[in-house]
Amino acid sequence: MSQASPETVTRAEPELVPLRHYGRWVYGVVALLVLGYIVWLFTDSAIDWRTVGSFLTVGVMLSGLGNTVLVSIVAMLLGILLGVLFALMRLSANPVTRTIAWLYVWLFRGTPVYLQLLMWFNLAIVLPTIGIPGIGSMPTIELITPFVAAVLGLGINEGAYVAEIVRGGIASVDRGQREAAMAIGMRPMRIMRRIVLPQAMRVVVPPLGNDFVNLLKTSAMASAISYTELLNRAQQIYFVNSKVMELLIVAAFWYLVVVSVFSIGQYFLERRFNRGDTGSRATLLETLWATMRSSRRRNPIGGRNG
Amino acid sequence: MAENVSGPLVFADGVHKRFGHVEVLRGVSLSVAAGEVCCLIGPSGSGKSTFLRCLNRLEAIDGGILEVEGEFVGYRKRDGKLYQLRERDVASFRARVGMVFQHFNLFGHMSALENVMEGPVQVLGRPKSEAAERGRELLAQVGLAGKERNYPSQLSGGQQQRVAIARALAMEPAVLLFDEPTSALDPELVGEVLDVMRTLAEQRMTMIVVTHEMGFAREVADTVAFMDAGLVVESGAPGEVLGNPKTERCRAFLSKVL
Repeated sequence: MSQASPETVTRAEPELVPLRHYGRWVYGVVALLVLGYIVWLFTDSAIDWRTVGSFLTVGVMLSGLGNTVLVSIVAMLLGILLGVLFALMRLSANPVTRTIAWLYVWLFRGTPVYLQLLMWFNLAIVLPTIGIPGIGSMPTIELITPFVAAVLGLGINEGAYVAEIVRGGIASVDRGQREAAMAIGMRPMRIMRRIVLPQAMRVVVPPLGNDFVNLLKTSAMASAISYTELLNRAQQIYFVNSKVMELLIVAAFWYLVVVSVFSIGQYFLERRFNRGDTGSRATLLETLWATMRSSRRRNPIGGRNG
Repeated sequence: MAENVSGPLVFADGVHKRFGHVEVLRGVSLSVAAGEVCCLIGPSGSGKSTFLRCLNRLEAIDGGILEVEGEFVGYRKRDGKLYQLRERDVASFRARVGMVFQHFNLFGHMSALENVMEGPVQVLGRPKSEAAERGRELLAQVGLAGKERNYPSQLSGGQQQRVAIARALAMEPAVLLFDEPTSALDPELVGEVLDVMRTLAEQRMTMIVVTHEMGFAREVADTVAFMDAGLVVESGAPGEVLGNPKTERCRAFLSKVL
């Protein structure tokens, strides 16, 4: 205790001995052992790794992967569109608009997305035809394909979450920004579009990225409404060849790949919206390097406590 | 426009403003002629900033008459009645009243030049090249040539406030409102902002300045108005109000700040 007092350091200039983290080495070794044991368990198990390998790049799985990405992107776009719209409605001065937006969020956040998917898919039961008066109509069963049901179910649900994220982002923009824009004579919608939303993006993009990664995985639920995405394809194959675990591993592999790729994309988006912040010009490699370094040896001067 | 030439540019008579139960303005009367500099002084909470914000309708008044360039602020007179303006019409009114804020409020995602160009391009519909050229001139005028591409976070407080002044000037306003423009600045940066404002005063820009800089008020203002408890208690030439205050409240205030 008394050794840490400042006087002992200043005068005699003794050697500085950084804190050694012996515990971390022990911990790391134990973790490696556990990992090794798990790997050994699986290699020694009845998993047929050759089957995993042969189905990894098979066309049916890849097209399932493509469908997963497609439905996720389209649903996310729909979600962002609805989310921004309802976030703005939620902040409207008009009480009717505000209530409608509140109802939307309440309804679609309050029920499981799985249930919503089933409802969209089964819409034809209660609504045999869908039409716009004066333009025409068509049978619901033809209009609501598994893809459309999946996009509607996932996208509208996502919109409710995006609305909350965007609302929080808008609230995070300093009131003075809006007042300054008003003071130069900008109209409300333009203030939102030119001044508030671009600055809200910085707060909105990280959770939005997380949401998209979530959506990529939640889209697996669309297999329940027979949309031929990645998991659905894996199931179709193992129903035939009974290689259940092997095909699930193939699906898991591709989910991990896609999620990793989009996480990198998210990094670039965040950087784009950080304009105007000093010290935000680091490249991806620099950031990765800095992250690796700081996790390898947490530098107390860097201000991040381990 | 014809009637504006004769009357004052800014005219307030008995302006009231309430926030809930608190009456912040209790009948403010003031008039400022074109080309005049009016400094509003007074203790904090006296309603100076609120009155300034009413002048460009950032706050709506609850009573009294408030006119800028002979037009009611926030209302249009028709058939002897005052009809509240829609937000878009208020916006075009605000375009003619410039405002400089205590905390600068520069648009954080735009460079200095983009900040200055935003109003002319988005509100006045000027071509970008023309707005950029004018923007560079204005930035040079406030002593910031070469800082066009800097973002607000890369500028000092004094530099940010000068960009904010350039941004307001870019709209070619009829009157410029300053809400404690130097209160958020480090002491050594106050001078550079006051210098810019002094130059504007020399160019006969109509300005209403809420300030605690008594030296600036004495030197630059044509009129000094002392506000206390939601009223203009005393107003007149700076030499009189600051040098020989008539009311006890003004004397008490000045003895604390001078």
